[in-house]
Amino acid sequence: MVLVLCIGDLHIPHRAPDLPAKFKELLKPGKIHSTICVGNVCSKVFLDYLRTISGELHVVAGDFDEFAAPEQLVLDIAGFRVGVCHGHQIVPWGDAEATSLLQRQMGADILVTGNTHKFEARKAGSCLALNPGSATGAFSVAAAGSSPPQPPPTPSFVLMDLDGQKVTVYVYQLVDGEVRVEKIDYNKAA
Amino acid sequence: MEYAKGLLSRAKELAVQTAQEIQARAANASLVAAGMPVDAAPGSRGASPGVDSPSGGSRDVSGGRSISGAGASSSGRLGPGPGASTSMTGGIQSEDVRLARFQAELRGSTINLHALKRLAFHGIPDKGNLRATVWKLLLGYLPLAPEDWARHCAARRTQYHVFCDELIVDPKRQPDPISFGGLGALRVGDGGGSGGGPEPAGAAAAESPLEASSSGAGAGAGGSSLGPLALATEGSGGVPVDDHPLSLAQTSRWCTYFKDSEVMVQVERDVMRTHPDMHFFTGDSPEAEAHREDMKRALFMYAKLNPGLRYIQGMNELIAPLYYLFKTDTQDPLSSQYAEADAFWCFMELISDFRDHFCAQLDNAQSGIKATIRRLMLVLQHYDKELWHHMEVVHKVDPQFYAFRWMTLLLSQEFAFPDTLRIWDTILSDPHGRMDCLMRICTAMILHVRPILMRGDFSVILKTLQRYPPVDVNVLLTKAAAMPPCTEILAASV
Repeated sequence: MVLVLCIGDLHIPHRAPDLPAKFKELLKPGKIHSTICVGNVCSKVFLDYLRTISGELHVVAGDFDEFAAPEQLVLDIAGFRVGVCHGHQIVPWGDAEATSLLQRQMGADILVTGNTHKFEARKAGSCLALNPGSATGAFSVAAAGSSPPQPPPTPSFVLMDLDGQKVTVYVYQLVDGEVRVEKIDYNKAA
Repeated sequence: MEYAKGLLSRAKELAVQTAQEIQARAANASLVAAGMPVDAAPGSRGASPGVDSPSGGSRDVSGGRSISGAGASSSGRLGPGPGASTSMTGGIQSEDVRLARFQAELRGSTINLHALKRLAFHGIPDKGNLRATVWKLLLGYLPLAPEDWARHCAARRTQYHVFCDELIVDPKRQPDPISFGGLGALRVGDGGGSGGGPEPAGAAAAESPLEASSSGAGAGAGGSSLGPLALATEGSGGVPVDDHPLSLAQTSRWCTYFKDSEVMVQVERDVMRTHPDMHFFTGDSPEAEAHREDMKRALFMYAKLNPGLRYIQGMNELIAPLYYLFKTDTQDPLSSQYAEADAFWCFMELISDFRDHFCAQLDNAQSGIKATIRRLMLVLQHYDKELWHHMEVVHKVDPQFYAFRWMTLLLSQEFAFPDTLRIWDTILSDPHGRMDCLMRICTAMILHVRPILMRGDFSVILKTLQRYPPVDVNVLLTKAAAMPPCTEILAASV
């Protein structure tokens, strides 16, 4: 039973000052095994904060990051191959087909990407495509450009529970100042 | 009745030999007092002393009265002793006689606990595999009528496994309204997954401990599935939940799970270090692993059931002999299978006397460990003021440095394992109570090494008492048996 935090697109300090307080309350050390950051943390200082949440931090480079990080990562966690990429490299942004292309290239069971600032959990065949959204609800060019005009993104992040063949995805969203948690189950074999 | 008469006459024969042996013993004792090593029979394997000398032919089946006040009891040592060669043959005979007496005692339709205690006081023979049963009786786990044993044990064991089931929180398991249903695999350990948690024997055994149901391995594989169906596959189409891994709510199963994991880490750390010299507990063999898992679970259950005290370092040393004994009991196959549950209940009983020693908040209270150590020092003062003065005043040896471990762990760390079992025979069966007996034995221990202590300074005193020199425990126990109960001494000195 391995708990993996997926978080990203924070844009601190440019587009948001900090994580919402309620999220910070929840992210206490000791429970989470490892953290995956999809990028665009921006601030190096905040990266250090992310390091305190769990034992391991895996981070990939977003297009606005102020530190060096790999473009892509493939991790082996609890028997799952987890691929991580920021997503600004995937053109068109947020496209399902292009994302699964990347997934096949990486050979990953679970692909975690960001960039769209919108939470998504999609099953494509036997693979899972996750997007934790933006943990600060930062302004997103992708969303702003669309018509009709979209509301600002909901702050969200994802906690994965990897257990044998099963993945349980807990998505934490800040709706109207309250944390709402939803759970989605996936089975690797199915 | 014939049998009883036979025992009695035999006992009378041995009484004569006993008298001789008492003399030899006295000679021994003076050698010991002079600080010279006596027959170093390591551990006192098979050395169960004490043929009780009946005075004036009492006719109870157990065959005799113990010489509680007489000080010396004959040595039943099988090895060559310093006494006359009669002691060797006398020893073997007395062992068999004692064994026979125990068996006779355990055979009746109601067991006379008082008589059993008197017998056990001088040691339970290692042959005949009686110790486990006798300890269970002494600790009040088994009722006094042997025909009730099966039923009573089954009830207690079931209760233990029900506790396991309820209190070991698996956050992924759906709380099932039908109590025994929905048994899931158990993952106990921190979130990092300490290599696959133990499958509790309790998972399967909750149904019926009397059936030879194997451990929860079967239940675990099948039962771990939660709702595995993929729900909505687009967007945030998840199911809203109240309980999630990061929850800080008190009622959250996840929160409880993480708190329990902290306790479990502590328990695990201690259990891994239990008796590193014994294959039963240490090593990578699957049996040792299983034993450790069992002990961990039992200790964890105690921590859960006693949220005030929780787990304190050292409790593992108290449960280890109990678990070992019950697991290796060949008398009753069920006893070995349910050793964990039995050990748990007996541990509860054993620690109830000494609970306050473990509670840090009670350190300075009347019943706490510091007060007990102070009382020990008072008793020591009573017996040997000079020695006490030498130790506490002249060299300022704080008794906590040695007595703390002696008292909280019931001397399990000071002697070899077989000796610990022998000492616990006496502690469990002492008519004046376990605490009292423990204090007397500790006093005897200090008095025994008096010559070394008187000659030594701070470091010598500490070294001697913290790493107690090898000794025949029967000498200490005899000395302790000769002392009046500590309560009298303390009352007198006040």
